Amino acid sequence: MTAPSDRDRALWQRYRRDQPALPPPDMLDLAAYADRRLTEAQSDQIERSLARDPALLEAVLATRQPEPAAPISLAIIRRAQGLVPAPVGPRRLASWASIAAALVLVCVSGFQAGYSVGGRANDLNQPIELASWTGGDADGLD
Amino acid sequence: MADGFEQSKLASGDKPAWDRFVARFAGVVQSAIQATLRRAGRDTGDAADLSQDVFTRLCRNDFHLIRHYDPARASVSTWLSLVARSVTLDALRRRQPRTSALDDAPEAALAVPPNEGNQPIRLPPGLLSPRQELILTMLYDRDMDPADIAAELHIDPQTVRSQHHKALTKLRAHYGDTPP
Repeated sequence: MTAPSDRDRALWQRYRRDQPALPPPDMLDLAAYADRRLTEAQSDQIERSLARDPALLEAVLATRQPEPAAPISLAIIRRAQGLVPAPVGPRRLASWASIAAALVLVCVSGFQAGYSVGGRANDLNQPIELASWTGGDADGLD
Repeated sequence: MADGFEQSKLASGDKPAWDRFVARFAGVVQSAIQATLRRAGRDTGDAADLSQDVFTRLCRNDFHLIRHYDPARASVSTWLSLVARSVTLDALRRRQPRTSALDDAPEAALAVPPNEGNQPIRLPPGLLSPRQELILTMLYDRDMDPADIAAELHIDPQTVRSQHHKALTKLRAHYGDTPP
C-alpha cells in the first residue's frame, strides 16, 4: 500500500470534523475489548469510540503491551490503604467495653469511698452531747 | 477470586482485603500512570498523586467500579490499567490551558474557513463502518503500518488495505471528490 496522499488525508480530516461526538464507552467494555473478549458485533461500538478519541485508542493499545509493574514507595501504598478506614470490629469493641467497665468500677468505688469519708466528716460536725461523756448530769462537775 | 482480587470483600469495604489489594496492584496502577504521562511528554512527578486519585475513584460511590467489575469479561490488570490511564488522561485534559495568546497561534489557525453553506452536519449513518473508521484513524492519525494495524485487530494485512480502499471510495463519493 502506498503512503496516504495529502488528498486522502484531507478527506479523512473532513470526515473526522463532521463526526458527531460520542459518549465515552464503559470502562469494563473497553477492558473486555483490550483483552479481545468481545464479539465482532460488541466490538463495533468500542471501535467507533476509539476511532473518535485518539487518547482512548492510545490507552487501549498501550494496555495490550503491558509494562512491568513500576517500583512503588511504601508511602504511596500506605496513603492509598488509608482510604478505607479500619472497622470497629468485635475485638476492638471488647477492648472498649472493658475500658468502659473499668471506668464505671472506678467511679463507683470512688463514690463509695467519698461517701464513707464524707459521712464520717458529717458525724464530726454533729454537736457533742456532753452528758454522754460525763455519763450523767453535766452539772455534777461542780 | 481472580488474580488475587477479592471482589466481594473489597465491595463491602473490608479493610484487610483493601490493604492487600493496594499492595498487590499499586505497581500496575503506577506503571500505567507513568507510561501515560511519558507518552504525553509530561513529568512523572505527579504519578504518586494520580495513583491516589485512582484508588479514590475505586472507592467512590460505595466501591461502584469494583462492584461492577466482572472477572469473566476482562482481567483485573487490564481493567485497572485502563482505569489508571483514564484518570491520568482526565487530569491531563483538566490541566490543558483553555486559551493561548493570539500571537502564539499560527496564522493558518486564525484563517476563516470558506463558507460551506452553514449547513448542519449531515453524515449518512454508517457511511463508514466502525472498523473502517478505526483503520483510517490508525493509518492517518497514528501513522501506523498496515501490518501493525492488522496485528492489533487480529486481521489479515490485506484486509486492512481493502478496508482502507473501500473507506476512501465512500468518502470520495460522499464529498464529491474523484480519485487521483
